[in-house]
Amino acid sequence: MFRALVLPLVALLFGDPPEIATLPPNPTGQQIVDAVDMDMFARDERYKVRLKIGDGTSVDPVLDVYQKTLGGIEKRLVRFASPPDLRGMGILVENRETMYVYLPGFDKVRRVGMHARTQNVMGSDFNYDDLGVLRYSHDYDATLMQTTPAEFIVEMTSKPGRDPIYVKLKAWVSRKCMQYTKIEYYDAHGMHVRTHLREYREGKGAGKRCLITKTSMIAHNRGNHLTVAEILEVKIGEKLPEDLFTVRSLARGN
Amino acid sequence: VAIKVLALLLIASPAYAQIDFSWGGYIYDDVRFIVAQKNFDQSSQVAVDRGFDRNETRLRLTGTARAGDNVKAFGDFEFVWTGFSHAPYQASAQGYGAPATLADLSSLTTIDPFYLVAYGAYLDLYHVLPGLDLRLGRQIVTWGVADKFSPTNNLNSLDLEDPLRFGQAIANDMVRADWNHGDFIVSAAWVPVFRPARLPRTAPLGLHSLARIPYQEDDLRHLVASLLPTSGIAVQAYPILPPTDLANSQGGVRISGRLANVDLALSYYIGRHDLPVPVHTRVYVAANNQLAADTTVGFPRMQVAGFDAAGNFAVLADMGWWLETAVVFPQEMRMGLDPPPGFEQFLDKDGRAGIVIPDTPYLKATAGIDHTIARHLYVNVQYVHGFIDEFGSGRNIWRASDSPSKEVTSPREGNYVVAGADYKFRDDRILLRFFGVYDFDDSSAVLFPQIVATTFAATELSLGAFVYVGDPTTKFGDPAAGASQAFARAKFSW
Repeated sequence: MFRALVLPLVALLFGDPPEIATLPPNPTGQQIVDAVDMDMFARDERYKVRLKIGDGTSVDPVLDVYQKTLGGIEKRLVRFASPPDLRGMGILVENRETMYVYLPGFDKVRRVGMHARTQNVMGSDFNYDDLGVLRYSHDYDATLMQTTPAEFIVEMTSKPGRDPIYVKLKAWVSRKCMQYTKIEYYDAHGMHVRTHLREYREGKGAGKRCLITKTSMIAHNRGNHLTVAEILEVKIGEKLPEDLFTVRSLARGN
Repeated sequence: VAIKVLALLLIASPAYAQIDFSWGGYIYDDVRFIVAQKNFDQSSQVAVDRGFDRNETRLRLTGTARAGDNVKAFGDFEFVWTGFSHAPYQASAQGYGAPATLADLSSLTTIDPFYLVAYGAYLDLYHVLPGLDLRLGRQIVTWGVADKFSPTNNLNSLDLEDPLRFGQAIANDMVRADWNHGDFIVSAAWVPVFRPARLPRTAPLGLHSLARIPYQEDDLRHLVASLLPTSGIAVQAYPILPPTDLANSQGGVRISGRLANVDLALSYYIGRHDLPVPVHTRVYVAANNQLAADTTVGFPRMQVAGFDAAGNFAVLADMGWWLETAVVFPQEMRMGLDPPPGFEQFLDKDGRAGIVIPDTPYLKATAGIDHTIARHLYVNVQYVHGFIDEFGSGRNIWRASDSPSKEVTSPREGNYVVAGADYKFRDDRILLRFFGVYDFDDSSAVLFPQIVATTFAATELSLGAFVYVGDPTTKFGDPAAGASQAFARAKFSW
């Protein structure tokens, strides 16, 4: 009884990562992707991220990212802490179809057309679609291609009626962390245009969720241009207010 | 007051009062050169001459102080050094100088004048009641979904002094309340004291002659035009602001939400138009035997009922779209005209001062689309019915001073296309931008090309031009609108 009540409380207080998602025996590709998606938004999360674009500058972009599931709908809020000319800007992602940007210079919230998802975020190799994709299983059907002792390799193809930018993804899922460690993006011509790498720190104790430490995007269609997103801070399980993920909250600024 | 607030923000420190403080700002140099002189009408009289038009240095400081999650104070100030002395410049038509004495040359306010702009100095209180936020103090409230041309955005007056900062509003002291339930938001604002728009420096050029007799009734206008010369009159305009009582405060309410993935809003504003309208003119013979006209200008009341919507066209490659409309209910404005001795009063057919602004409701609207093509190219196109400075139904009447019998008329609410494109490359560090405005009614236009480089950290360098195209009796060819210029700017932010 003591353990049941107190240990989770202690874990919460000291920021222990929660447990990783579990899979049935011999999972299908779809079950794997669903499990990763489910785990991604199973709890409130908050990250502070520094983007090093190419060689980087002395004022690399720093973003605060908040995400939460509200009534079964995942939402993400991004606020720009740097560079100085973008400080205070915010983006609220409700889904790939609905995004809002807060422009502090005008104190105005503007809807972002879905067409903008192909644009790079501040010249980085991430695009607005990367912000808007909250679950891969919304847009892709997954097939398990290979299982190794360390990873599942899954191929995802776009679902009928959906139009993600990349028609095919090939993803490596760490069996220990149940997180993507690598994703290859293929365009409509079958060209491998981007590679996304993710690094994790293992959670303490058996079954604890791994924490992302670094993620990199390599754009092969930009001469292997590289953007590294260094995760400066992670808070998982800290309850974020529902009100944070509203247009009104976006307009409050930093 | 602004300086005191700034000082308080700057000295605030977490060590003293558990206040989280952050600040930023920029320095910004802006040099512009007028490349082609502009003349009055078809004459050779220079209205705006070639030469440096701006030589500004701007220092902007913003600070945010937070006390817990529910209290925030914000200040946003800019010091602007104009780069021109107040003493008159030889052969300058730009009108920077004013008569000065030798003693004035010992004063920095003459030699190196500057001014302070306060874009914001307010206090935010969040969750005052469930879902209710308050913002108190000097602020800019932006309503509407259109880009720059928002007919429902009327709470703040516009700063039109600089054409390149088009759409910039002037902050005013007000109380704003926002209540939300999810993304259903009710916003209300109350502005105790009216503040007029800041006019372009070239606006007084519009007083060059009496060519623009604003009477809407043809017979009355033609009668005045036939009896009074349209040039050679020294015209001065004197603004009178509305009373500072409760009845003359402004306010508005906006209700917004989402339906079927379309953002929708209804709004209502009651207040005044921020640009002056003539209400009385006295024509007389001055001491130097020159005919003179003193015109009093005022700021008419108006009510604005607005609707706006924004969304995506899924069937058109996810093109963004927006529509913003407003029905404006203006106060009728009549201009009394005291003629010079020997003339009878000029009255309309009803025996009253002639109408310059009828009280007929009229429509302003902006409809726009934007799209991203091939990742690097962003395109934005808007159709605008009713430019931001256009007010009242009826017609604009232009009469060339060199041929006063010729009238050029156009609807008061013109029809424009505003279109532009951004092309970014080199990791988005180079931006090529070209925007333009075209007036369908008189074929005048504005072209605004520029190149912006952010290749150095925290630094933005830009080169460009702002080109007016059109005859002097057109919207953008009018010398009062300004003259074509090239610019170079540098900005460092922290």
